[in-house]
Amino acid sequence: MDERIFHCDRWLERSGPREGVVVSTRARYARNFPKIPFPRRAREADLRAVLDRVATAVDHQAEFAGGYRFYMGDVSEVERQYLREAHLISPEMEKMPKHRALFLSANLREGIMVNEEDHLRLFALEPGLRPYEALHQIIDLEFALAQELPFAFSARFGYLTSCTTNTGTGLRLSALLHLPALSITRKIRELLGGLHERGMTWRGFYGENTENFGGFFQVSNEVTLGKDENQIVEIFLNTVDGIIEAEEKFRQELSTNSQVLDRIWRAYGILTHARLISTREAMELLAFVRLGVDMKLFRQLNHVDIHRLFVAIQPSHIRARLMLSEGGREDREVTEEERDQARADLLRERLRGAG
Amino acid sequence: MDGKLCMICKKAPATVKVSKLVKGTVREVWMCSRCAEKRSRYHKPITPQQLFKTASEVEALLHSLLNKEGESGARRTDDEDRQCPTCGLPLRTYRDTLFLGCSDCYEAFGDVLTRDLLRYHGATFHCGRHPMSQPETVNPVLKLKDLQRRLELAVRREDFELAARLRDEIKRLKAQIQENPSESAPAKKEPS
Ligand SMILES: [Zn+2]
Ligand SMILES: [Zn+2]
Repeated sequence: MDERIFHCDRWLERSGPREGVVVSTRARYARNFPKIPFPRRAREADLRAVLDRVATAVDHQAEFAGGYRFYMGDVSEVERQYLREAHLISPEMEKMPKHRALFLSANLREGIMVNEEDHLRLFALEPGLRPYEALHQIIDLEFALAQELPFAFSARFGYLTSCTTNTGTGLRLSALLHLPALSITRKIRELLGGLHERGMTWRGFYGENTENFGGFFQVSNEVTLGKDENQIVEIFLNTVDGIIEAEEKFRQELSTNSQVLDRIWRAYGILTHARLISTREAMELLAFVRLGVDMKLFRQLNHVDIHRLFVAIQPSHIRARLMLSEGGREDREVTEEERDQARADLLRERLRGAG
Repeated sequence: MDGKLCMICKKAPATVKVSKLVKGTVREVWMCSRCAEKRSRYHKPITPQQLFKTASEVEALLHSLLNKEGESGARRTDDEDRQCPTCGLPLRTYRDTLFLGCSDCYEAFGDVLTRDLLRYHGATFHCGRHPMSQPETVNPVLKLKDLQRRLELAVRREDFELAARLRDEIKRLKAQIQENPSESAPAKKEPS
């Protein structure tokens, strides 16, 4: 395995504001070249040409000197899955690697996906709730790239994107929220259901049945046309602030609920003693421990520890650990039981002594 | 908080604490919810009207929704045989997948897209950054202003780690401007 891929997890190590509820904020701009078919319709030669042009432009960006470049066609399946688990590439890119690439800045605050749904997807990642900072990053990056790359734009429709859901600013601001209290009290659907009328949308972060999967939701702006960047940030912040307030109110109510406290401590008990544990069970339990961290039950644990563990227990991360411990042999088959054991070992090691 | 009065109107009881940056130090200001709402651009309630830029857009939306049923079958088929001259995407494929083929499809299917964009975004015209927009960070003086604005926001949102980082950046930039004042003349204003 390419050792540099492991470094990419470092972006998870920073902590940010409101991190009790907001795990991270992401901003992205969708951009395309004029006249060249969008990736879904492009021929191989088009995709190659786009990749070359973007790579050359990135060569001239100071932030990307000493950064990371992954040409998905040259990256193994485990490595692609690893990058997806670290939230750095999309599932589409993981599945269809040919002529696609990920460029990351040296400080891992920003990156570019090439030939995903659009020719370029510029993105910035911030821990906690920091939409303005994330937006600033991609504005600066876009401006720098636009000095040498022409981006498809119409005075009427704005930036032209592969899907009309991104037309206009091409801006998507999203926050990964942890809402266990709203999920437990079943207030979540009602609250999230009201987002559409503000031009916002949401989805469960770990699969459909998210209430049972730790209460992680991604909230983002839906409207990209007819509002400028600042309006989009204001609506976004306003909405997320409202959700945080509601979540905190219910957490307050739950903080003395003995059933909830029991579930948190049981989760901690299993995570620190189990010998075999699946990804799914580990995630559900970690979500409860995360709530416990917020209630200050575990003095030696913080939100960054838990966020890093969430990523570290994912299948490819565990597989990579096993391979690395044996000198990076990628051909070796890893059984499910071996993986569950390695996951349990990792959890005990990181969580013990924290209570 | 008990019995504290709003520091702004000095009438209503204070319920909201707002951190403010005053001469480089953080001050806590207690306000009533009304004053807090008035002073913060980030707590404006959003009205449904704001989702539509103008009344005419609402009208156009209604119009397009009402007329959808009335479209004749013949005209629709006609529509669907149209292709983008640049990438050859048939309109039918866009309707099936909601994905366009290239940037010129917007021109080729402009009428259809206008309806779809209005339905989805509640608007048909772009407003926001454009290829001539300059980020504030290009000019040192504007960048300084921008950093100060971000610092204020970071403090208000109690993001003290970010505030410290921005403060360092401001210090560095100020020193730089003093060394090279010639490079700091404001750039020509961008078209709005
Ligand atoms: Zn007042
Ligand atoms: Zn086309």
